[in-house]
Formats: sequence, structure tokens, C-alpha cells
Amino acid sequence: MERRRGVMNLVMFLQMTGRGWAWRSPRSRIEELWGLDLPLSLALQAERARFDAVFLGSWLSWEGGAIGQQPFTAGYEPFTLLGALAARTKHIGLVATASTSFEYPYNVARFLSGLDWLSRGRIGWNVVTSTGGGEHYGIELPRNEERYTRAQEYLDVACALWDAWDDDAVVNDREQGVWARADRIHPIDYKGEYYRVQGQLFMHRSPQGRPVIVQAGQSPAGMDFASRNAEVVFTAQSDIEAAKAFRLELRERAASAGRDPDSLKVLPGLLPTVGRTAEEAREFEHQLNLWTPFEVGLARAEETLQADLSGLDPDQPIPAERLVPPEAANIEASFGSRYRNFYDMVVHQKMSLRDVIARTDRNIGHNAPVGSAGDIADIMQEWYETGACDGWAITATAVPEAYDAVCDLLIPELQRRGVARREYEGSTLRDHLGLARPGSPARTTAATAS
Amino acid sequence: MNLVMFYSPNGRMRSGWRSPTSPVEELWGPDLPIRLAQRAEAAKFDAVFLADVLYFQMGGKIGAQPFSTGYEPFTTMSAMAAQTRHIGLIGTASTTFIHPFNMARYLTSLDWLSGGRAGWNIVTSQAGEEHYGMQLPPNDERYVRAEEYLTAAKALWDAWDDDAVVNDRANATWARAESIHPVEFDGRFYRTAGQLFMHRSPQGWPVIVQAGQSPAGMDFAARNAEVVFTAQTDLDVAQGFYREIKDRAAAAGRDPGGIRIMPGITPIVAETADGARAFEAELDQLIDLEIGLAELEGALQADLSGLDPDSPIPPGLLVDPDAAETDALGGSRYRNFYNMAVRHQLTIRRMIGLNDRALGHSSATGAVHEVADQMQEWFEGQACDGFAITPVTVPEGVDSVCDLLIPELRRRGLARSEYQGATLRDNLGLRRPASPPRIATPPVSA
Repeated sequence: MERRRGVMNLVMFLQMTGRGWAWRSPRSRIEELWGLDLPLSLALQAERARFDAVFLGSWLSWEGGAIGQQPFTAGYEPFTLLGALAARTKHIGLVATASTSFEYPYNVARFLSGLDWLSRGRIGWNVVTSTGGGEHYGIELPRNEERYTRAQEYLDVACALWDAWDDDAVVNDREQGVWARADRIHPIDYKGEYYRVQGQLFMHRSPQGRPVIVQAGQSPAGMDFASRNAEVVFTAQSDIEAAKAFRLELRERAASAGRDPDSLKVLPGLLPTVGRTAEEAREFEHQLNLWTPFEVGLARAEETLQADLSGLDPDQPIPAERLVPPEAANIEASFGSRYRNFYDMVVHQKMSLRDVIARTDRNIGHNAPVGSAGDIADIMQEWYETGACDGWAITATAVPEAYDAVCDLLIPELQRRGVARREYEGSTLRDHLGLARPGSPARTTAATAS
Repeated sequence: MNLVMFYSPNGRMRSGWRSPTSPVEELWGPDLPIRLAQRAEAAKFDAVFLADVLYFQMGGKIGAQPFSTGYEPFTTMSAMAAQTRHIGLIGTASTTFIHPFNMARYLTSLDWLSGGRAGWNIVTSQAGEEHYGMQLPPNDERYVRAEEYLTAAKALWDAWDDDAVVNDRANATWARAESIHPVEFDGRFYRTAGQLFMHRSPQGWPVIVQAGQSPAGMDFAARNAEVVFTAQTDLDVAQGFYREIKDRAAAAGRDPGGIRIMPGITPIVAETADGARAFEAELDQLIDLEIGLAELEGALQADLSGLDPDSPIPPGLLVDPDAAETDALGGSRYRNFYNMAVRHQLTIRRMIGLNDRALGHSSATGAVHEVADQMQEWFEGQACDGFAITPVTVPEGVDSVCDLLIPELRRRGLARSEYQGATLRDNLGLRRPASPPRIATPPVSA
């Protein structure tokens, strides 16, 4: 089979104090939460390493254990943080997670358009539908399939708003006293099952036209949604053949939906522990595992694996019969859509309980290789060149140690191999990802603002 | 005196974008808000202020003028925060269109990112509901709802004790669970539960700002606001308003000194009075009279067609302020326009100019010392605690304010030379609300 050549897409997940218990490192920067300096220094570091984008997750449920025991991983509010990062970075893309369950579509469309302007076209939106957090709003969350039906309407509303101003609406005619041509502003009148929205934004169409649409759910409804709408898909894959099948399926579904399959970039998550040597990397991973208090880790593993893990020897594999098969697992549970990855770790990889605890604690089912930059680059390059992915979404297990290792060891190795960029060429996030800019839609009827 | 600079990409004047020097080509990009925030910071303003409305201005032809608040306030302020260190950031956000949990979250985040410089101008919208598929609540419910909304937001801001986060690596504890008090808020209009996922921000609460002049609005301000923006054109009316708010605050058990009352003012200053008037005349040339007349009709709630623009308005045409519908859009400025027309007998043309440049707020055109005199008179005459200065245009209005007016006020000891504190509360001279004391922890309800 012919191998792909080219530069892979790389996104850095910002988790400001690392994953799991890495915040206990003496070098972690927990005292700086929730100020700007910490995320800004990480974003600038990723920009120097020429990542396509940094990415911010957002969810509104505690992650297990007593409230407040750990610094909340997704504590930073994405829209405000990205506004600040836009003002202090120049090239790197900025992807915000925002739920369709908790904010009006008009507000989200407005935030993203504003950010696209403030960043000169570097914004992406990771569309999530939320499995928890409704209590903050006094609402019940709908079930999985309904969430995606609503999300489709929600996204349709946002796109309609982003497209309401023709790209050439603003003419800046001082002489004639015409700022924008009224016949090029098309207020929307959206009537859906869940949303009713009229009007338009009060700023004109932003540099990218629409933010880059990112999506990360692996449930059937999620994949369906992705194939119709997503331009970047984050996914949890720990097996190369499964990853190839996943990417192939998404591309085929996208084509069936009338899209160019290349307009959809699949980026599996990677949680690399990189060292100058494989031995050094393993030593650091061992240190990471030591920071996890065993009992706390066990409870989280039980929750993630939806199983009773009591009374087991920590250094032996978990008996497979303790787990339900993936088809029987509850996808509504925390990270339920990644159950298959954990099942695989227990049943096929036969990881010890202690290692599984460390994995469920830190990596929620992603690829978590440990090794030298060369070892890890081998994996990344193999997946990319054989069509298992278009690039990677990287999370550093610890900040600053693992973050520095990714930027200072791994990326230069990829650059040396010609599979990661050395310089930015374009200026927008679409440029970096190789995605087309959606033009203003053609108008048949002349619904206008005048 | 307290001084806030009103941020507007083209300046306050609606027609200002037509000036050859206006930055209209860069309306929503990062450069303009950052540049203007930094200018205001160099002049040592307490804060910049961002307005927000979700309707095309009354009377205007859509697209004729750039929309004055097309930017999104939170993200714009965040960009400003990232490029400034001391200046406060007061943004307008509507209780009608944002859930209290989200509002509390956005403001807490801005307060953290800026190191304690966030302020919130609370508005209850009267237009824009079609963007949300909702009906506006009944008018007389607006402030009852706002009161409940603010109670919910404060409950969320107070859910983490100030000392909750301990950063104890050795004992694997970031924050003490017993210092986090999840809220159970079940009100008539709003429901929220739980807590934010960030701990209590540098200021505790953002500075609470409010600007309604209706009786219910003034009542709300007296009970809750720390800064009150107001539109005042006449000294005696301004003094009456000032006294009223302070008295009502005292009656509500608050320290009247904990409220800063700040009328808007659009200064047009130059070294000489002639220079200022010449600039004003130049600006008036930018106004499309047809649009200007339509806007004025909206402000006066009257039909002015067929009248001579160079004459005053026949008094019988206008409704007495005490009978006027002050809750109509912009209605709280109606008294000012009425006074311009009836008390001061200004011509229609002159009023069109004033409305375009100052939208019902004070306008002061003159030599620097004259305008400074007027501001000093108001401040020392207990008509205000300071001003919200709205530069008439960008860049000339901003330049003349920062380069001429503020230095004059500084010379008179009325404006600061250096920032002393670190937060917006410090800049304004306001106390920081501490975490509430805990005896038992009953859930917060309406």
C-alpha cells in the first residue's frame, strides 16, 4: 500500500496542570490557576513548536473523588480565555469547546464570530452535547440520540447566523454614508423543532467565514453528526487497525453526505511520555504513577470500567469476567463512549490493576506510548502514513515536564522527519489544517434586511 | 474623581465613521480595542466600559452606519485584559439573554484572567428577543427578575470560601471540600445548583454597575449597584438624581460612599474654544440629516416632519417628561432631550448634532479649561462622583481627551497620576466583598 507523504496536523490539548495527579509534581503550576500567565505560556510554547492549534476542553461535572480534591481539569472558561490568547499569539489556532446544551445558539455564534475577528481567523469550535452538568441550569439533559438531533439544529442556526452577512456586505463608503449594503444582509428566520431564531449578528462575516467545526463523540449518533458536519474529529483509538477502520468509515459517510472526504481530518488522541531515552521515559511514567493515591485511583477505575475491582492484587491483570462486554456497557456513563478502549486494555493487553488505575486516571482510553522521541515518532508516523489518522491531538501528562518533552524532543524529531511543519505558511486555522473557507452561500430569493 | 472611558470603535458619534481618519476598516479586529484600552490605561482611567445592545439603532437605515456595539463584550474585554495591567474592564451583559450560571462563569473567568479588573453593567433587555426565540418578560417584572438573578450570581460567586484552595501537594488536596458550598437556588424565575469550577476570584465579585433611570431602576441601583452610569445634561437634575440615589442607598442600609455615580460626557476639547467649535462644526458635516432627524424623532417620541431645522421645536409638540413613557427604548434620556428642546430652546439642527454625538448625555464643547471647569463644577457640586467619558470620534476624540483633558484634570488634582492598587475595586475605591461567614450551611434560595 502506498504510504502518505506530507505534514500531519497536530493539535495540543491544554491541560494546565497535566493529567490526573501530575499536579502533585513540585514543578506544577497549580498556584497560578486561573490566571492568564499559565495558559498563555503553554500556548506560546505550542506556537513556537508550530502546532496547528491549541485546544481547550470544557465540562461541568467533577471528575470523581471529593469535590475540589484535584484542580479541576476544565476550569478555564474557553471563550474568555481564547479572547485573551488571541491578543497575545499570532499564528496558532485556538479551539474552544462549547456545549449545545447550556448556552443559546445565538450567544455561541456571537462568541465564536467575535473570537474569529479578534484572532484574525484562528478559531475552531469543538461541538459537545454534554453528559452532565444540567443541574447548574436547572434542566434535565436529553438522552444521547436526542442530544445530537438538537445539536444539528443548533449548528444549523449558528451556520445560518455566520452566513447571514454576504462576504461583501460591508463597503465602508464614507462619501455616500453607506457602511454596509442592506441587500447583502439577510436576517435569518429559523424555525426548528428545538430552536426558533430570527435576526442576525451585528458584526459582519468573520475572516474564516465560519469557525472550524470540531467534534469528538464516538457514539453512533456522534459519528453520524461528525460525518455531516465536522472538519476535525478527535477520537480515542489505541489500535491502528481500528483507527484505520474508523477513519475510513467516517470518510465514506462524509462522501455519502456530499462532502469531500479530505475536508474531514481525523486526529486520535495521544498521551505520550517522552524521554531522551526510553529508559528515562519509563522512569518518568513510574514517577507519575506514584503520584496517584491508590484508593482514589481504584474508585475512579471502577467508575470508568463500570466494574467492581475490590479484592484484587494490584500488580496482577484484572480478571476479564469482572467487566461487561462493550455492547452491554452504558454509553451514558462518564466517558462511556470510550469503554471499548478500556475493555481492550484489560482483556487483550492484560494490564495490571495498578497500570489500569494509572491509565483510567490519566488517559481516558487514548494512545499512551512511553519511549524516546524516536519511538513515539515511529508510531505517529506509521499511523499517519498508513491512513489511520491525519495527525494527532496531543496531551501532556504533566506540565511542565511532559509538555516540555513534547515541544523540545518530540516535535523536533517529527520536523526532522519532514512530517511536522517547521514554519507556519498560512495565517488562519483553516490554512494550517488545509481546509477550504466556506464562501457566502448563493442567494436565490432576495430575503434582505431592507 | 472617578473616570471611565467608553469604548467605541468609531467613537461616540454615530456618524463619526465617515471621517477620513476613522478606523472603520478595523472594527472588530484585535488592534483597535487593544490600542484604545492601552491609551486609556496610559491616561490612568479607572476602567474602560463596553456597551451592548442587540438592535439596529432606532430610525437608522440598516447598514447606513456600522453597528455601534457589534463586538462581543466578554471576548473583547479578555483581549484588552491580555494587553493591559491596571485598567478596569466593565462590560454590559443582559440578564435576559444569558443564564445566571453562565454569566457568573464568564465574569469570574474575566476577573481571574485580568487579575481582578472585571465589572458588570447589568441590563435587562428591551429588544433583541427574536434572536433567542423568546418573549420578553413583562416590563414591570424586569427588576424583580434582575434582583433574583443577581442573588443567584452572588450565591455562585460566594460558593467557594476565599481560603478554599490550599494547594497541598503532599496531602493530595487542592481545595478543602468543606470550604466549597454548592448552591441550591430554586427561584421564581431562575434555577441553578452546584458551584463554579473556578475558586473565588481576586475581587470576590465583579464590580456591579447599573444604568437604569426609571423608578424601578433607581431602586435596584440603590440596593445593588456599586457604579451607576446615568445620562444627565442639566446640573440641577443631575444633583437631584445624585442625592436621590445616595439617600435611597442609605435607606437600604448601604454606605452611600460605596456607590459611584458617573454621568456620561462627550467632550470636544481643543486648546481654544474656537478650535473646539470648528472641530464640532466639521463633525456636523458628517451627519446625514435625514437619518439624524429620524433618530431625533425617536429620542423625542415626536413627529418633526415639516418643521424648520433652524428653529426650536414648538413646545406643545412634546410630551411632559413626567407623563412620557420612560420605559421605551432610550426613554430614560427623554427628560434630557425635552430640556434641550423646551428649557434651552435649541434648534432641531443643533439637537440632531448633539444626539448624533452624545446620544442624550452631556456634551461639552470648548477650550480644555472650560470643559474641565464644567466637570469640576459638577463633581464639587455633588452632581456626580466622576464621569464616563465618551470620546466623540476615534482617533481625534480619544487623543484630545487623553492628551489635553485628562492632563488638565490631573493638574487640578482631580485625576490620578499613577495607579495605586491592583484591582478595579482599588481603582474605584470600593471595598471587596469577603466570603460570607458560615455557621450552618443552608442552601441559598430566592
